[in-house]
Amino acid sequence: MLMPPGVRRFALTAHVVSSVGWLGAIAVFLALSLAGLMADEARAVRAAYLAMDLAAWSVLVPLALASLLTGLVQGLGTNWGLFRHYWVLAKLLLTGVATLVLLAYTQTISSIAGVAEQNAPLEDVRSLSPALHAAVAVVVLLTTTALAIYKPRGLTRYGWRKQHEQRG
Amino acid sequence: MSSAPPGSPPGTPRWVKVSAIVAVVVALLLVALLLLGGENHGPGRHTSSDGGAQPSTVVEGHTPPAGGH
Repeated sequence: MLMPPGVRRFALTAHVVSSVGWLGAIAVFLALSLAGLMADEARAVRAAYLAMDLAAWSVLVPLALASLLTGLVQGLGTNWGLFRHYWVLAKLLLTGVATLVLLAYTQTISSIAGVAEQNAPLEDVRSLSPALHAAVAVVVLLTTTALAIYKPRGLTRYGWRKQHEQRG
Repeated sequence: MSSAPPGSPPGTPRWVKVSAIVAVVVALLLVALLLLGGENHGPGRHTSSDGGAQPSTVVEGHTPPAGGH
């Protein structure tokens, strides 16, 4: 079912805000993970990992789910569809995989934050893993943003059939 | 069931083929990394077997220097 223009603009706004907000939040997460790796002061290192845990649950996960959900609404409620254009399909796959990895990784973040909360030595608190995951996430989300802006050409077989049905 | 539309379906664009190859290579690399360094991946790296957080130095029998690092 196609959305009326007003609803479509509102849904698009929600999708852009949640998707770009997710990218921004990941950038902050990356900065925190680098602070956790490089800060000299123990309190700063521990605070960085505790802040990452808080950010993961209260900002990253809600934004990721909102981005995925509003993206599905955009696909299903407009002529773009979900499986008609390769760029939409690629964006859906990347967003879906990124959301699943994030949901799984929140457990690791909570675990690292748990170690940071205790009086463990700093070398046991510091972890390269969050920085690596955040760096890959930034690349993935930049790719989805570029796909949404450039919309590279290419119809899938399904999209080609649908196009012919609509013309006929 | 609707009949097939006239003409042939469009071929897969080059950017899709290149992206798919890159994705497969990256996925294989990730699987290889996970298999090689599997013990150091995931939340288990930071927790003891009873589920509580435990520094890895304790597990490895290494005593941190007095006064911390």
